[in-house]
Amino acid sequence: MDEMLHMRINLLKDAGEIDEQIAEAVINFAKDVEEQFNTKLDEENASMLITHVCMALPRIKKGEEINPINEVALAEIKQSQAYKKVPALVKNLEQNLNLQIPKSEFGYIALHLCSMEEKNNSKGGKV
Amino acid sequence: MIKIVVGGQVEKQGIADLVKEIGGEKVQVEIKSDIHAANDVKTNKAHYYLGACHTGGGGALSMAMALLTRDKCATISMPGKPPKEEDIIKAVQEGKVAFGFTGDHFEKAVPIIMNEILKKA
Repeated sequence: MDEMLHMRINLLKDAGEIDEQIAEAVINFAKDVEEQFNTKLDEENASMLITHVCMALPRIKKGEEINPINEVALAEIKQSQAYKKVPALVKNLEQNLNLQIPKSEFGYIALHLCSMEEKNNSKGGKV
Repeated sequence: MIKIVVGGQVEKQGIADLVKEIGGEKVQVEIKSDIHAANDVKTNKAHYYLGACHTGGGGALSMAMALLTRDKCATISMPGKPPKEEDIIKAVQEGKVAFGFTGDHFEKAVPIIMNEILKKA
């Protein structure tokens, strides 16, 4: 994960938007994603993913609910090659924080992971 | 001249074009990364921040919340919850300077926000 992504996480931590536990969990999640997708996360390919997860986890922790992603979009995401890697990544995140990520939030995390992988593939950005 | 920065994560060009279309000569609009856009408002280089993401309150506004505080930010739409004119009017009147919404609601949100900002200017 590059410096800019670390800065994002630190800015959110300093502002009190995320706590230390979530910050650490997101850093571990990022490492996990890098291993699973054999890629390096940087501002360009992963700012959306990292920022989204940072903002979603406090919401999940507090039990706040959001409406799920629309079904057409979800069906499209499920067609993506990257999708099959999503459940294990989300499960690790859940275990790390000892919480359950609702289905509605799972869809958005899957969306961001699949768009990141698509971006990597279209740019030949794998390392 | 009202200076608007477009941060957030999605529909940036669409938002910027719509801001310009509505504000014309009265506005200057720039597309930036969410961090730079929020920082421009913090350092008074811009007056207002607009941003969209898939959930409205995540990547759309996170950096604005971090740099400007939550008090200055308003999430005005979320998935399945389109923007409400009265909420936007209230947010602008209360002095909020950063507005987040979902990408699919930007065509509805931006005109209401801009008209209210222009009225206030």
